[in-house]
Amino acid sequence: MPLAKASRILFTLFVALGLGSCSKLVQYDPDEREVYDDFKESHLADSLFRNDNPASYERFVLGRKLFFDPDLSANSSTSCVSCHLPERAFADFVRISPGVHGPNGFRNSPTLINVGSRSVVNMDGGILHLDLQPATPIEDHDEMDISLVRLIERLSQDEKYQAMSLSAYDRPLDAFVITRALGQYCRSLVSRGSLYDDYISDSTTHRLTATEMMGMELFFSDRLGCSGCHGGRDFTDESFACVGNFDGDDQGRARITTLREDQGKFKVPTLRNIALTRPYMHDGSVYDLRAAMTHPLSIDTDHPNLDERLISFELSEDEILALEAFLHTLTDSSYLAHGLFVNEQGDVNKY
Amino acid sequence: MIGLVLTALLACSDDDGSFNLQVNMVSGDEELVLGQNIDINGVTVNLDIAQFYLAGVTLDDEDDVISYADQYHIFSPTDEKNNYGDVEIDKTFDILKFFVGVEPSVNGQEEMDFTSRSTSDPLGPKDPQMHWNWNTGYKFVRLDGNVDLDDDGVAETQFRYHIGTDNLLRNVEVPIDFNFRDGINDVVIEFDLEKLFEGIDLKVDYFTMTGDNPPPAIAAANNLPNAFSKG
Repeated sequence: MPLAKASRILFTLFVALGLGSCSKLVQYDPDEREVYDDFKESHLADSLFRNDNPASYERFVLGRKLFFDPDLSANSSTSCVSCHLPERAFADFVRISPGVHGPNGFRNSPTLINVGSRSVVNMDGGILHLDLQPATPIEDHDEMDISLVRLIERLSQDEKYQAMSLSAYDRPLDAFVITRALGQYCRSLVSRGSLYDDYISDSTTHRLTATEMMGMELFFSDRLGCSGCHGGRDFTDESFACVGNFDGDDQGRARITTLREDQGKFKVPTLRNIALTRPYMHDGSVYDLRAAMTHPLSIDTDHPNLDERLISFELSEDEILALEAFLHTLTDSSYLAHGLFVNEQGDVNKY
Repeated sequence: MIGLVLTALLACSDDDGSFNLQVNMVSGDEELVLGQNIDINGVTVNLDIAQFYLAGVTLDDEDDVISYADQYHIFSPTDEKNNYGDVEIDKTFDILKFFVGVEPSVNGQEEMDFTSRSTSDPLGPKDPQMHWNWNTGYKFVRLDGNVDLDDDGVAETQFRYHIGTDNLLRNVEVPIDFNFRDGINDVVIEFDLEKLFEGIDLKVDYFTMTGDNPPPAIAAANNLPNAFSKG
Protein backbone atom coordinates (compact mmCIF):
# COMPACT_ATOMS: atom_id res chain seq x y z
CA MET A 1 0.00 0.00 0.00
CA PRO A 2 1.46 3.38 -0.91
CA LEU A 3 2.67 5.35 2.09
CA ALA A 4 0.50 8.38 1.33
CA LYS A 5 -2.67 6.27 1.09
CA ALA A 6 -1.88 4.47 4.35
CA SER A 7 -1.30 7.83 6.03
CA ARG A 8 -4.66 9.11 4.83
CA ILE A 9 -6.45 6.02 6.15
CA LEU A 10 -4.70 6.31 9.52
CA PHE A 11 -5.54 9.99 9.71
CA THR A 12 -9.20 9.31 8.87
CA LEU A 13 -9.33 6.61 11.56
CA PHE A 14 -7.72 8.95 14.05
CA VAL A 15 -10.20 11.70 13.30
CA ALA A 16 -13.13 9.29 13.46
CA LEU A 17 -11.98 7.94 16.82
CA GLY A 18 -11.32 11.45 18.04
CA LEU A 19 -14.74 12.71 17.07
CA GLY A 20 -16.36 9.63 18.55
CA SER A 21 -14.77 10.26 21.91
CA CYS A 22 -15.55 13.98 21.63
CA SER A 23 -19.23 13.32 21.16
CA LYS A 24 -19.30 11.26 24.37
CA LEU A 25 -17.64 14.03 26.34
CA VAL A 26 -19.69 16.90 24.98
CA GLN A 27 -23.42 16.65 24.75
CA TYR A 28 -24.74 19.82 23.19
CA ASP A 29 -28.30 20.71 24.06
CA PRO A 30 -30.35 20.64 20.82
CA ASP A 31 -33.02 22.93 22.29
CA GLU A 32 -30.45 25.50 23.28
CA ARG A 33 -28.78 25.22 19.90
CA GLU A 34 -32.11 26.16 18.36
CA VAL A 35 -32.39 29.18 20.67
CA TYR A 36 -28.84 30.17 19.71
CA ASP A 37 -29.54 29.81 16.00
CA ASP A 38 -32.61 32.04 16.31
CA PHE A 39 -30.62 34.56 18.34
CA LYS A 40 -27.78 34.49 15.85
CA GLU A 41 -30.19 35.09 12.99
CA SER A 42 -31.75 38.09 14.70
CA HIS A 43 -28.84 39.63 16.60
CA LEU A 44 -25.43 38.42 15.45
CA ALA A 45 -24.49 39.92 12.10
CA ASP A 46 -21.52 38.27 10.40
CA SER A 47 -19.72 41.62 10.48
CA LEU A 48 -19.68 41.46 14.27
CA PHE A 49 -17.15 38.62 14.12
CA ARG A 50 -13.62 38.56 12.79
CA ASN A 51 -12.71 36.43 9.82
CA ASP A 52 -10.59 34.09 11.96
CA ASN A 53 -13.44 33.51 14.38
CA PRO A 54 -16.85 33.32 12.69
CA ALA A 55 -19.82 32.65 14.94
CA SER A 56 -20.86 29.13 15.82
CA TYR A 57 -22.81 27.53 18.65
CA GLU A 58 -19.89 25.30 19.64
CA ARG A 59 -17.56 28.29 19.96
CA PHE A 60 -20.12 30.27 21.92
CA VAL A 61 -20.66 27.39 24.36
CA LEU A 62 -16.92 26.91 24.86
CA GLY A 63 -16.52 30.65 25.46
CA ARG A 64 -19.33 30.61 27.99
CA LYS A 65 -17.80 27.67 29.85
CA LEU A 66 -14.49 29.52 30.02
CA PHE A 67 -16.20 32.75 31.11
CA PHE A 68 -17.72 31.06 34.14
CA ASP A 69 -14.69 28.95 35.06
CA PRO A 70 -12.61 30.07 38.10
CA ASP A 71 -9.78 27.82 36.89
CA LEU A 72 -8.89 30.71 34.62
CA SER A 73 -7.25 32.36 37.64
CA ALA A 74 -4.01 31.48 39.42
CA ASN A 75 -5.67 30.14 42.58
CA SER A 76 -8.93 29.04 40.93
CA SER A 77 -10.86 31.69 42.85
CA THR A 78 -11.86 34.16 40.17
CA SER A 79 -13.65 33.78 36.88
CA CYS A 80 -14.58 36.38 34.29
CA VAL A 81 -18.10 36.45 35.70
CA SER A 82 -16.72 37.38 39.14
CA CYS A 83 -16.22 40.93 37.83
CA HIS A 84 -18.76 40.97 34.99
CA LEU A 85 -22.07 40.12 36.59
CA PRO A 86 -24.90 39.25 34.18
CA GLU A 87 -27.50 41.06 36.31
CA ARG A 88 -25.35 44.20 36.16
CA ALA A 89 -25.13 44.23 32.38
CA PHE A 90 -21.88 42.31 32.82
CA ALA A 91 -20.29 45.11 34.89
CA ASP A 92 -19.59 45.05 38.63
CA PHE A 93 -21.17 46.89 41.55
CA VAL A 94 -17.92 47.67 43.35
CA ARG A 95 -15.45 50.43 42.61
CA ILE A 96 -12.55 48.10 41.89
CA SER A 97 -13.27 44.41 41.44
CA PRO A 98 -11.08 42.15 43.55
CA GLY A 99 -8.61 40.00 41.67
CA VAL A 100 -6.91 36.92 43.05
CA HIS A 101 -4.81 39.11 45.38
CA GLY A 102 -7.62 41.50 46.37
CA PRO A 103 -8.84 44.80 44.90
CA ASN A 104 -5.43 45.92 43.67
CA GLY A 105 -6.46 47.04 40.21
CA PHE A 106 -7.03 50.62 39.25
CA ARG A 107 -10.02 50.65 36.92
CA ASN A 108 -13.71 49.96 37.26
CA SER A 109 -15.09 46.85 35.57
CA PRO A 110 -16.94 47.95 32.40
CA THR A 111 -20.17 46.55 30.95
CA LEU A 112 -19.73 43.89 28.28
CA ILE A 113 -23.14 44.25 26.68
CA ASN A 114 -22.61 45.18 23.00
CA VAL A 115 -18.84 45.25 23.56
CA GLY A 116 -18.40 43.50 20.20
CA SER A 117 -19.39 46.74 18.49
CA ARG A 118 -16.53 48.70 20.01
CA SER A 119 -13.68 49.63 17.68
CA VAL A 120 -10.95 49.20 20.31
CA VAL A 121 -10.98 47.54 23.69
CA ASN A 122 -10.00 48.60 27.22
CA MET A 123 -10.49 52.10 28.55
CA ASP A 124 -7.17 53.25 27.14
CA GLY A 125 -7.72 51.52 23.79
CA GLY A 126 -4.61 49.41 24.25
CA ILE A 127 -6.08 46.28 22.70
CA LEU A 128 -6.96 46.27 19.03
CA HIS A 129 -9.72 43.72 19.06
CA LEU A 130 -11.94 41.86 21.45
CA ASP A 131 -10.68 38.39 20.55
CA LEU A 132 -7.27 39.30 21.93
CA GLN A 133 -8.58 41.09 25.02
CA PRO A 134 -9.14 38.04 27.28
CA ALA A 135 -5.36 37.80 27.71
CA THR A 136 -5.52 41.08 29.65
CA PRO A 137 -7.50 39.97 32.71
CA ILE A 138 -6.20 36.41 32.58
CA GLU A 139 -2.53 37.42 32.79
CA ASP A 140 -2.84 40.68 34.75
CA HIS A 141 -1.29 40.31 38.21
CA ASP A 142 -4.09 42.42 39.67
CA GLU A 143 -6.80 40.28 38.10
CA MET A 144 -6.54 36.55 37.41
CA ASP A 145 -2.74 36.39 37.39
CA ILE A 146 -2.06 33.27 35.40
CA SER A 147 0.10 33.13 32.29
CA LEU A 148 -1.47 31.72 29.17
CA VAL A 149 1.25 29.07 29.14
CA ARG A 150 0.23 27.81 32.58
CA LEU A 151 -3.45 28.10 31.75
CA ILE A 152 -3.07 26.01 28.62
CA GLU A 153 -1.23 23.35 30.65
CA ARG A 154 -3.97 23.39 33.28
CA LEU A 155 -7.01 23.29 31.03
CA SER A 156 -5.44 20.79 28.65
CA GLN A 157 -5.69 18.22 31.45
CA ASP A 158 -9.47 18.48 31.15
CA GLU A 159 -10.77 16.05 28.54
CA LYS A 160 -13.99 17.96 28.22
CA TYR A 161 -12.18 21.17 27.33
CA GLN A 162 -10.07 19.31 24.81
CA ALA A 163 -13.15 17.77 23.23
CA MET A 164 -14.94 21.13 23.09
CA SER A 165 -11.86 22.75 21.58
CA LEU A 166 -11.67 20.16 18.81
CA SER A 167 -15.37 20.45 18.20
CA ALA A 168 -15.35 24.25 18.09
CA TYR A 169 -12.00 25.05 16.47
CA ASP A 170 -10.71 21.73 15.15
CA ARG A 171 -7.49 22.11 17.13
CA PRO A 172 -6.30 21.24 20.62
CA LEU A 173 -6.84 23.80 23.34
CA ASP A 174 -4.28 26.58 23.05
CA ALA A 175 -4.03 30.35 23.50
CA PHE A 176 -5.84 30.96 20.23
CA VAL A 177 -8.78 28.80 21.26
CA ILE A 178 -9.02 30.28 24.75
CA THR A 179 -8.95 33.89 23.60
CA ARG A 180 -11.13 33.35 20.54
CA ALA A 181 -13.79 31.37 22.39
CA LEU A 182 -14.00 34.06 25.08
CA GLY A 183 -14.08 36.68 22.32
CA GLN A 184 -16.88 34.76 20.66
CA TYR A 185 -18.93 34.73 23.85
CA CYS A 186 -18.35 38.44 24.50
CA ARG A 187 -19.17 39.41 20.92
CA SER A 188 -22.43 37.54 21.31
CA LEU A 189 -23.50 39.68 24.28
CA VAL A 190 -25.75 41.77 22.07
CA SER A 191 -28.82 43.41 23.47
CA ARG A 192 -30.75 46.43 22.30
CA GLY A 193 -34.15 45.81 23.82
CA SER A 194 -34.53 48.83 26.08
CA LEU A 195 -37.60 50.99 26.37
CA TYR A 196 -35.73 53.62 24.38
CA ASP A 197 -35.04 51.07 21.58
CA ASP A 198 -38.71 50.12 21.52
CA TYR A 199 -39.70 53.77 21.35
CA ILE A 200 -37.28 54.47 18.49
CA SER A 201 -38.48 51.46 16.52
CA ASP A 202 -42.19 52.24 16.99
CA SER A 203 -43.19 55.35 18.89
CA THR A 204 -46.87 54.73 18.39
CA THR A 205 -46.87 51.46 20.32
CA HIS A 206 -44.10 52.26 22.78
CA ARG A 207 -44.47 55.55 24.58
CA LEU A 208 -42.13 57.44 26.83
CA THR A 209 -43.54 59.44 29.75
CA ALA A 210 -43.51 63.22 29.58
CA THR A 211 -40.58 63.30 31.98
CA GLU A 212 -38.62 60.77 29.93
CA MET A 213 -39.37 62.75 26.76
CA MET A 214 -38.16 65.92 28.43
CA GLY A 215 -34.97 64.14 29.46
CA MET A 216 -34.43 62.81 25.95
CA GLU A 217 -34.79 66.29 24.47
CA LEU A 218 -32.34 67.67 27.00
CA PHE A 219 -29.89 64.85 26.30
CA PHE A 220 -29.83 65.54 22.57
CA SER A 221 -29.92 69.32 22.96
CA ASP A 222 -27.04 71.63 22.01
CA ARG A 223 -27.42 73.27 25.39
CA LEU A 224 -26.14 70.20 27.23
CA GLY A 225 -24.26 68.54 24.38
CA CYS A 226 -24.39 65.05 25.97
CA SER A 227 -24.76 63.35 22.61
CA GLY A 228 -21.65 65.13 21.34
CA CYS A 229 -19.65 62.35 23.01
CA HIS A 230 -22.38 59.88 23.94
CA GLY A 231 -23.83 59.69 20.44
CA GLY A 232 -24.54 56.79 18.12
CA ARG A 233 -26.44 53.59 18.57
CA ASP A 234 -24.60 52.66 21.76
CA PHE A 235 -24.30 56.20 23.11
CA THR A 236 -20.56 56.49 22.59
CA ASP A 237 -18.64 58.09 19.76
CA GLU A 238 -15.67 55.81 20.54
CA SER A 239 -13.39 58.79 21.11
CA PHE A 240 -11.00 59.30 24.01
CA ALA A 241 -11.86 62.19 26.26
CA CYS A 242 -10.61 63.80 29.43
CA VAL A 243 -13.44 64.91 31.70
CA GLY A 244 -11.41 66.32 34.56
CA ASN A 245 -8.91 65.40 37.20
CA PHE A 246 -9.15 62.25 39.22
CA ASP A 247 -7.18 60.90 42.11
CA GLY A 248 -4.42 58.52 41.30
CA ASP A 249 -1.89 58.49 38.53
CA ASP A 250 -3.70 56.60 35.79
CA GLN A 251 -2.26 57.90 32.52
CA GLY A 252 -5.33 56.83 30.54
CA ARG A 253 -4.78 56.83 26.78
CA ALA A 254 -1.24 58.14 27.29
CA ARG A 255 -0.34 54.79 28.84
CA ILE A 256 -0.55 53.45 25.30
CA THR A 257 0.54 56.39 23.17
CA THR A 258 2.97 57.94 25.72
CA LEU A 259 1.77 61.33 24.43
CA ARG A 260 1.37 64.15 26.93
CA GLU A 261 -1.78 65.32 25.16
CA ASP A 262 -3.40 61.93 25.84
CA GLN A 263 -2.90 62.04 29.59
CA GLY A 264 -6.18 61.68 31.45
CA LYS A 265 -8.12 60.62 28.38
CA PHE A 266 -10.32 57.53 28.50
CA LYS A 267 -12.61 55.90 26.00
CA VAL A 268 -16.08 57.46 26.12
CA PRO A 269 -18.21 54.72 27.70
CA THR A 270 -21.53 53.50 26.42
CA LEU A 271 -24.54 54.76 28.36
CA ARG A 272 -26.61 51.68 27.64
CA ASN A 273 -27.67 50.08 30.92
CA ILE A 274 -26.14 53.01 32.75
CA ALA A 275 -28.60 52.57 35.62
CA LEU A 276 -27.19 49.05 36.19
CA THR A 277 -23.50 49.74 35.89
CA ARG A 278 -22.72 52.03 38.82
CA PRO A 279 -20.21 53.02 40.12
CA TYR A 280 -19.08 55.24 37.26
CA MET A 281 -15.97 56.77 35.66
CA HIS A 282 -12.83 54.84 34.81
CA ASP A 283 -11.91 54.51 38.48
CA GLY A 284 -15.41 53.90 39.83
CA SER A 285 -15.13 57.06 41.92
CA VAL A 286 -18.65 58.32 41.21
CA TYR A 287 -21.19 56.17 42.96
CA ASP A 288 -24.61 57.24 41.75
CA LEU A 289 -26.24 58.14 38.49
CA ARG A 290 -27.19 61.66 39.47
CA ALA A 291 -23.62 62.47 40.47
CA ALA A 292 -22.36 61.01 37.21
CA MET A 293 -24.89 63.06 35.24
CA THR A 294 -23.92 66.28 36.89
CA HIS A 295 -20.21 65.49 36.83
CA PRO A 296 -19.59 67.99 34.01
CA LEU A 297 -20.88 70.69 36.36
CA SER A 298 -18.22 70.00 38.94
CA ILE A 299 -15.18 69.24 36.86
CA ASP A 300 -11.77 70.63 37.50
CA THR A 301 -11.31 72.82 34.48
CA ASP A 302 -7.58 73.18 35.12
CA HIS A 303 -6.72 69.91 33.42
CA PRO A 304 -4.69 70.77 30.31
CA ASN A 305 -6.34 68.02 28.27
CA LEU A 306 -9.92 68.76 29.29
CA ASP A 307 -12.18 67.82 26.39
CA GLU A 308 -13.31 70.94 24.56
CA ARG A 309 -16.72 69.45 23.95
CA LEU A 310 -17.50 69.75 27.63
CA ILE A 311 -19.64 72.82 28.14
CA SER A 312 -20.84 74.31 31.37
CA PHE A 313 -24.57 74.48 32.00
CA GLU A 314 -27.03 74.79 34.81
CA LEU A 315 -29.86 72.36 35.41
CA SER A 316 -33.03 72.76 37.42
CA GLU A 317 -34.14 69.96 39.71
CA ASP A 318 -36.89 69.06 37.22
CA GLU A 319 -34.34 68.83 34.44
CA ILE A 320 -32.07 66.59 36.48
CA LEU A 321 -35.01 64.30 37.23
CA ALA A 322 -35.96 64.25 33.56
CA LEU A 323 -32.44 63.38 32.43
CA GLU A 324 -32.25 60.65 35.01
CA ALA A 325 -35.59 59.26 33.84
CA PHE A 326 -34.38 59.22 30.24
CA LEU A 327 -31.19 57.40 31.15
CA HIS A 328 -33.31 54.75 32.86
CA THR A 329 -35.04 54.09 29.53
CA LEU A 330 -31.66 52.78 28.31
CA THR A 331 -31.87 49.89 30.74
CA ASP A 332 -32.31 46.56 29.05
CA SER A 333 -32.48 43.26 30.87
CA SER A 334 -33.95 41.36 27.95
CA TYR A 335 -30.57 39.67 27.42
CA LEU A 336 -31.29 37.60 30.51
CA ALA A 337 -34.60 36.27 29.18
CA HIS A 338 -33.36 33.77 26.61
CA GLY A 339 -30.91 32.22 29.06
CA LEU A 340 -28.06 31.89 26.55
CA PHE A 341 -25.67 34.21 28.33
CA VAL A 342 -25.80 32.57 31.72
CA ASN A 343 -25.29 29.03 32.81
CA GLU A 344 -25.96 27.72 36.26
CA GLN A 345 -23.90 30.10 38.33
CA GLY A 346 -20.51 28.58 38.90
CA ASP A 347 -21.49 25.31 37.33
CA VAL A 348 -18.67 24.97 34.88
CA ASN A 349 -19.43 21.33 34.29
CA LYS A 350 -22.76 21.91 32.66
CA TYR A 351 -21.36 20.92 29.28
CA MET B 1 8.68 13.76 6.28
CA ILE B 2 11.23 12.28 3.82
CA GLY B 3 12.08 15.79 2.74
CA LEU B 4 12.68 16.82 6.32
CA VAL B 5 14.98 13.86 6.94
CA LEU B 6 16.95 14.64 3.80
CA THR B 7 17.31 18.22 4.89
CA ALA B 8 18.50 17.08 8.29
CA LEU B 9 21.01 14.64 6.77
CA LEU B 10 22.32 17.28 4.43
CA ALA B 11 22.66 19.68 7.29
CA CYS B 12 24.85 17.13 9.09
CA SER B 13 27.08 16.31 6.14
CA ASP B 14 30.80 17.06 6.14
CA ASP B 15 32.07 20.46 5.09
CA ASP B 16 29.09 22.26 6.56
CA GLY B 17 29.25 24.78 9.29
CA SER B 18 26.61 25.61 11.81
CA PHE B 19 26.29 28.97 13.49
CA ASN B 20 25.50 29.42 17.17
CA LEU B 21 25.15 32.83 18.73
CA GLN B 22 25.97 33.03 22.43
CA VAL B 23 25.20 36.15 24.46
CA ASN B 24 26.90 36.41 27.85
CA MET B 25 25.08 38.81 30.14
CA VAL B 26 27.43 40.73 32.40
CA SER B 27 27.69 43.88 34.44
CA GLY B 28 31.21 45.18 33.93
CA ASP B 29 33.46 42.30 34.93
CA GLU B 30 30.72 40.39 36.76
CA GLU B 31 28.71 37.63 35.15
CA LEU B 32 24.95 38.01 35.65
CA VAL B 33 23.51 35.12 37.63
CA LEU B 34 19.77 35.19 38.21
CA GLY B 35 18.85 35.43 41.89
CA GLN B 36 22.25 36.80 42.92
CA ASN B 37 23.19 40.39 43.68
CA ILE B 38 25.06 42.21 40.97
CA ASP B 39 26.56 45.69 40.94
CA ILE B 40 25.32 47.90 38.13
CA ASN B 41 27.14 51.23 38.11
CA GLY B 42 27.39 51.22 41.91
CA VAL B 43 23.82 50.09 42.58
CA THR B 44 23.06 46.60 43.87
CA VAL B 45 20.40 44.82 41.84
CA ASN B 46 19.14 41.27 42.11
CA LEU B 47 17.46 40.06 38.91
CA ASP B 48 15.25 37.00 38.64
CA ILE B 49 14.26 37.63 35.01
CA ALA B 50 16.62 39.02 32.38
CA GLN B 51 15.76 38.35 28.75
CA PHE B 52 15.33 40.03 25.41
CA TYR B 53 14.36 39.42 21.80
CA LEU B 54 17.20 39.33 19.31
CA ALA B 55 16.39 39.05 15.61
CA GLY B 56 17.31 40.27 12.12
CA VAL B 57 20.71 38.62 12.35
CA THR B 58 23.11 39.04 9.45
CA LEU B 59 26.78 38.18 9.05
CA ASP B 60 28.54 40.74 6.88
CA ASP B 61 31.87 40.96 5.20
CA GLU B 62 33.08 43.26 2.44
CA ASP B 63 31.27 41.50 -0.38
CA ASP B 64 28.87 39.04 1.17
CA VAL B 65 25.94 38.96 3.57
CA ILE B 66 24.30 35.92 5.13
CA SER B 67 20.92 36.69 6.54
CA TYR B 68 18.97 34.91 9.27
CA ALA B 69 16.43 37.71 9.30
CA ASP B 70 13.36 35.56 9.85
CA GLN B 71 14.64 34.00 13.09
CA TYR B 72 13.57 35.34 16.46
CA HIS B 73 15.20 34.12 19.64
CA ILE B 74 14.88 35.04 23.29
CA PHE B 75 18.23 35.26 25.06
CA SER B 76 18.63 35.00 28.82
CA PRO B 77 21.30 33.84 31.27
CA THR B 78 19.69 30.41 31.29
CA ASP B 79 19.20 30.31 27.53
CA GLU B 80 22.32 32.07 26.35
CA LYS B 81 23.00 30.16 23.15
CA ASN B 82 20.80 29.73 20.08
CA ASN B 83 21.46 27.99 16.80
CA TYR B 84 20.87 29.83 13.53
CA GLY B 85 21.57 26.96 11.15
CA ASP B 86 24.02 26.65 8.28
CA VAL B 87 26.81 29.05 7.61
CA GLU B 88 29.35 29.38 4.82
CA ILE B 89 32.66 27.92 5.98
CA ASP B 90 36.28 28.88 5.48
CA LYS B 91 35.18 32.46 5.44
CA THR B 92 35.66 35.37 7.76
CA PHE B 93 32.76 37.67 8.56
CA ASP B 94 33.61 41.05 10.00
CA ILE B 95 30.37 42.25 11.48
CA LEU B 96 27.39 40.72 13.21
CA LYS B 97 24.25 42.82 12.77
CA PHE B 98 20.91 42.36 14.53
CA PHE B 99 18.18 44.26 16.27
CA VAL B 100 16.87 43.99 19.81
CA GLY B 101 13.09 43.79 19.78
CA VAL B 102 10.39 42.78 17.35
CA GLU B 103 9.92 44.45 13.99
CA PRO B 104 6.78 46.60 13.66
CA SER B 105 4.99 44.32 11.18
CA VAL B 106 5.08 41.52 13.76
CA ASN B 107 4.83 43.69 16.85
CA GLY B 108 1.58 45.24 15.57
CA GLN B 109 -0.12 41.85 15.91
CA GLU B 110 -2.77 42.74 13.36
CA GLU B 111 -2.27 39.72 11.15
CA MET B 112 -0.89 37.10 13.52
CA ASP B 113 -0.89 37.98 17.18
CA PHE B 114 0.98 36.11 19.88
CA THR B 115 -2.05 33.99 20.80
CA SER B 116 -2.11 32.62 17.25
CA ARG B 117 1.36 31.17 17.74
CA SER B 118 2.50 28.04 19.49
CA THR B 119 4.10 28.26 22.92
CA SER B 120 7.23 26.76 21.32
CA ASP B 121 7.45 29.73 18.95
CA PRO B 122 9.65 32.48 20.46
CA LEU B 123 6.90 34.91 19.48
CA GLY B 124 4.14 32.81 21.05
CA PRO B 125 2.86 32.98 24.64
CA LYS B 126 5.68 32.78 27.16
CA ASP B 127 6.05 32.33 30.90
CA PRO B 128 7.41 34.73 32.06
CA GLN B 129 5.52 36.79 29.52
CA MET B 130 7.39 38.57 26.76
CA HIS B 131 4.21 40.17 25.43
CA TRP B 132 2.14 42.87 26.97
CA ASN B 133 -1.41 41.90 27.69
CA TRP B 134 -2.77 45.42 28.33
CA ASN B 135 -1.17 46.78 25.19
CA THR B 136 -0.43 45.51 21.75
CA GLY B 137 3.07 44.22 21.28
CA TYR B 138 6.05 42.52 22.81
CA LYS B 139 8.40 43.38 25.62
CA PHE B 140 11.66 43.74 23.71
CA VAL B 141 13.72 43.66 26.88
CA ARG B 142 12.51 42.39 30.24
CA LEU B 143 14.49 42.83 33.44
CA ASP B 144 12.69 42.00 36.71
CA GLY B 145 14.02 41.82 40.21
CA ASN B 146 14.81 44.07 43.15
CA VAL B 147 17.09 47.02 43.76
CA ASP B 148 18.87 48.13 46.92
CA LEU B 149 17.84 51.72 47.54
CA ASP B 150 19.16 52.12 51.10
CA ASP B 151 22.65 50.71 50.54
CA ASP B 152 22.30 47.96 53.12
CA GLY B 153 23.32 45.28 50.66
CA VAL B 154 19.80 43.89 50.37
CA ALA B 155 17.85 44.50 47.17
CA GLU B 156 14.45 45.23 48.71
CA THR B 157 12.55 47.38 46.21
CA GLN B 158 10.83 46.08 43.12
CA PHE B 159 12.89 46.67 39.97
CA ARG B 160 11.25 46.51 36.53
CA TYR B 161 12.48 47.46 33.09
CA HIS B 162 10.04 46.37 30.41
CA ILE B 163 11.18 48.06 27.22
CA GLY B 164 9.06 47.89 24.10
CA THR B 165 6.99 49.70 21.43
CA ASP B 166 8.00 50.15 17.80
CA ASN B 167 9.89 53.37 18.43
CA LEU B 168 12.33 51.66 20.77
CA LEU B 169 13.54 48.92 18.43
CA ARG B 170 17.28 49.38 18.14
CA ASN B 171 19.80 48.10 15.57
CA VAL B 172 23.09 46.77 16.81
CA GLU B 173 26.39 46.08 15.04
CA VAL B 174 29.15 44.10 16.70
CA PRO B 175 32.57 43.70 15.05
CA ILE B 176 33.37 40.00 15.34
CA ASP B 177 36.04 39.23 12.74
CA PHE B 178 35.11 35.55 13.01
CA ASN B 179 36.37 32.80 10.74
CA PHE B 180 33.72 30.10 10.27
CA ARG B 181 34.94 26.55 9.98
CA ASP B 182 33.55 23.07 9.47
CA GLY B 183 31.32 22.01 12.37
CA ILE B 184 29.72 24.12 15.04
CA ASN B 185 30.82 27.74 15.31
CA ASP B 186 30.04 29.60 18.52
CA VAL B 187 30.04 33.34 18.05
CA VAL B 188 30.18 34.83 21.54
CA ILE B 189 29.17 38.37 22.35
CA GLU B 190 28.59 40.21 25.62
CA PHE B 191 25.59 42.20 26.77
CA ASP B 192 26.75 44.61 29.49
CA LEU B 193 24.13 45.93 31.93
CA GLU B 194 26.47 48.73 33.02
CA LYS B 195 26.47 50.06 29.48
CA LEU B 196 22.71 49.50 29.14
CA PHE B 197 22.09 51.72 32.18
CA GLU B 198 24.81 54.26 31.51
CA GLY B 199 23.53 57.72 32.45
CA ILE B 200 20.51 56.30 34.28
CA ASP B 201 20.32 56.60 38.06
CA LEU B 202 18.89 53.23 39.04
CA LYS B 203 18.09 54.52 42.52
CA VAL B 204 15.69 56.97 40.91
CA ASP B 205 14.54 55.25 37.75
CA TYR B 206 14.07 51.62 38.70
CA PHE B 207 10.55 51.00 37.39
CA THR B 208 9.26 51.41 33.86
CA MET B 209 6.84 49.51 31.70
CA THR B 210 7.70 52.00 28.94
CA GLY B 211 4.17 53.47 28.69
CA ASP B 212 3.90 54.47 32.33
CA ASN B 213 7.37 56.00 32.55
CA PRO B 214 8.90 56.48 29.09
CA PRO B 215 12.12 58.48 29.82
CA PRO B 216 14.19 55.68 31.43
CA ALA B 217 12.90 53.12 28.90
CA ILE B 218 13.96 55.41 26.05
CA ALA B 219 17.33 56.09 27.66
CA ALA B 220 18.03 52.38 28.11
CA ALA B 221 16.90 51.60 24.55
CA ASN B 222 19.23 54.28 23.24
CA ASN B 223 22.08 52.60 25.09
CA LEU B 224 21.39 49.19 23.52
CA PRO B 225 23.70 49.59 20.49
CA ASN B 226 26.65 50.23 22.82
CA ALA B 227 25.75 47.53 25.32
CA PHE B 228 26.88 44.69 23.03
CA SER B 229 30.48 43.83 22.25
CA LYS B 230 32.55 40.88 21.11
CA GLY B 231 32.88 38.37 23.93
